Amino acid sequence: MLTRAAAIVLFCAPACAWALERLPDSALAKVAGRDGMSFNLSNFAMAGNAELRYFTPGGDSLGIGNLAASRSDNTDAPFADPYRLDVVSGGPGRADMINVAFPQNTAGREVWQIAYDFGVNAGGVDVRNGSVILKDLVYYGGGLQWTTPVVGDGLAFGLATRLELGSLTLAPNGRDATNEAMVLANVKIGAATAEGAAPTAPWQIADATNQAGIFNARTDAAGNASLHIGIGWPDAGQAAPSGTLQIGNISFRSDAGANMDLGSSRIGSIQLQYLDVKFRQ
Amino acid sequence: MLLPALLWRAAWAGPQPLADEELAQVRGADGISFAIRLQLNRPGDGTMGDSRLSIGQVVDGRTTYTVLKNVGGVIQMVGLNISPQTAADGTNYLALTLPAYTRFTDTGFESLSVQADPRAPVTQSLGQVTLNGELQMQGQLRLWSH
Repeated sequence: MLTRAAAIVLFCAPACAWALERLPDSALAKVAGRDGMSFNLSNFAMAGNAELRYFTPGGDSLGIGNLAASRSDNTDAPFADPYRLDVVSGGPGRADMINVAFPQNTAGREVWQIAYDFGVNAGGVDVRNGSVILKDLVYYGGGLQWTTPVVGDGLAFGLATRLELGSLTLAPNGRDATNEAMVLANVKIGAATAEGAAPTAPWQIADATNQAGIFNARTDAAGNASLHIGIGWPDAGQAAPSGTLQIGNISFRSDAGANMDLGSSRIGSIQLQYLDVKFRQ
Repeated sequence: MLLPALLWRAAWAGPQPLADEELAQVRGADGISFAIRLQLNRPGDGTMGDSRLSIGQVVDGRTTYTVLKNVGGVIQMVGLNISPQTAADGTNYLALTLPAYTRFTDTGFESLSVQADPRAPVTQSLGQVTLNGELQMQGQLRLWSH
């Protein structure tokens, strides 16, 4: 039986070979490889009662749920300015990097709206802490990088962002009761500018080439294992990039008394030289 | 022994080349829709096994494993669609229509720990994460090459 099956395959083989043809050089020259992937959302919205909950080993928990999110599109040119994923060279002697560049969004038409509820359940008491509402969140450029660290194992990353946020509202009685709330309005984060004006470029918080972020698991000399997230010192001769955080207005609204307006707040220049966070029980 | 092979060859003449103009007339349907029920590492009888997702990393000559225990849960998804599209500007793209309805039941992991032996009992858990409830989504994720 086996012999017969083999014979059929042998007889069939020449019959199957018709499908392949030689390609002339002229046709072959037209074959173009593409070196990356573009992607974007269109008409995106989501809502629902799903809840993400973190439980400590002791059983207490923190939950985030009732997430509602949506994003508007640049309908004039929906394919001109996408998210772009490429594998790029990491430079001499370094591993290649995965680079995700966010849309430049120059016209600011890709705008996010996000709201979610959060709560804590601890010591047998379940507390609903209220809602967080992000209104008119706009990202301008920036992106993410991933690669392998220069020393040791782990995930090295880069991160850059410039964002403007119409308002961040913390409403303790829920998203439908924003007359009792803390509101941060007109928030801007980006690269610091010389004259302290509003940022016009992304702030490179971690840079896979010069000042890599690191995420890995490690064990110290005493044998304690920990989960580790950090940002390394900048390479010799490099300075950590400066960022700025500008809040147009901070206010507390209340039904009970007068609203409190704390005015604006601005941090002209922030440099993140080094970050080292370890998680262990 | 020859007969079956000859019959096969006669019945299967193979695809014929199609002229470009003929090929251009071929219209596909509008994609593939999926309804998904994924039940992973949750037998459904209340028991839980010991499935582990481990990542080992060597730092300073010492190997440490990040261990996610019993990653899984139940995910039910309706309305996911994949279809190739051509935009008005000529861009060929893959449109992934997001699922209109998704339900998560106990989706997540039982524990996250870092330890020297990936198979040792988990004694130093950093905690558990679960996702429960429903999500409605609209819109597309569009993918294309550049």
